[in-house]
Amino acid sequence: MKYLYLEPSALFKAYIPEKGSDNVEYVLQLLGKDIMGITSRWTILEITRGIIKRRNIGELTQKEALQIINFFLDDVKEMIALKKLRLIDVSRRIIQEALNLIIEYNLYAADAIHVKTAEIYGAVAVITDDRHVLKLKNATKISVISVEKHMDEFKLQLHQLIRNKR
Amino acid sequence: MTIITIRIEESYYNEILKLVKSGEFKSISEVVRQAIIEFLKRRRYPWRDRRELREYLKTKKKKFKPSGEIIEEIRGEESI
Repeated sequence: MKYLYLEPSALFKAYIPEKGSDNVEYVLQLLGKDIMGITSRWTILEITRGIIKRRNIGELTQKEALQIINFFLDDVKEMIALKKLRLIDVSRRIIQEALNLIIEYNLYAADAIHVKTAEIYGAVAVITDDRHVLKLKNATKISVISVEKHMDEFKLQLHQLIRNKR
Repeated sequence: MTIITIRIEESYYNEILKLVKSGEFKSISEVVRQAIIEFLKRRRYPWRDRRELREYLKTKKKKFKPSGEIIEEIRGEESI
């Protein structure tokens, strides 16, 4: 089984129409038999907060925000039931090791938790957006790829990484 | 998980069996599970899946901030 780490900046795009949404959808459709998506349980809070923030700035109505939050939670539950996704708890080990990333690379606490979770669980790649590729790639040896790339280029890079990971 | 027993028409059963034999689903249980999930979702939301949700939001003709920007703002909420 190979693991792809779904960083919230990428996974959030599956629920909002924007640049990169189709690539995230492609990744989610790929999950199942040989490839599993993993993400920190913290992702649930970040995306939920993100939906509420979109309501606060007027992008969503209160009703839409609540429906999207419930849909997102159901969707995650379904992906877990179908063994496409696994939520990783924020453990003592992850926090201990994330400390060094904060000190050494000046990462936000959440960035450090995501990177360390991906490393500890042996992810093939961290799937994120353009902005976070720049921030995270220096802090880890794992490949960090952006879903905002052109779809052909994204697919090529993703499949190369999956193939090359032993 | 809870175990349930259901009676269905033979023709539906045969169709489900075809889906399992084709390899699309691992078992009859998986087909039934998926069908129940989709049925409940359809009743709960104006969209059936992620793609339909995105299409629904596109009809609102609003410009959405990039998710990465929103996430970055959230992470910055705690910082000085």
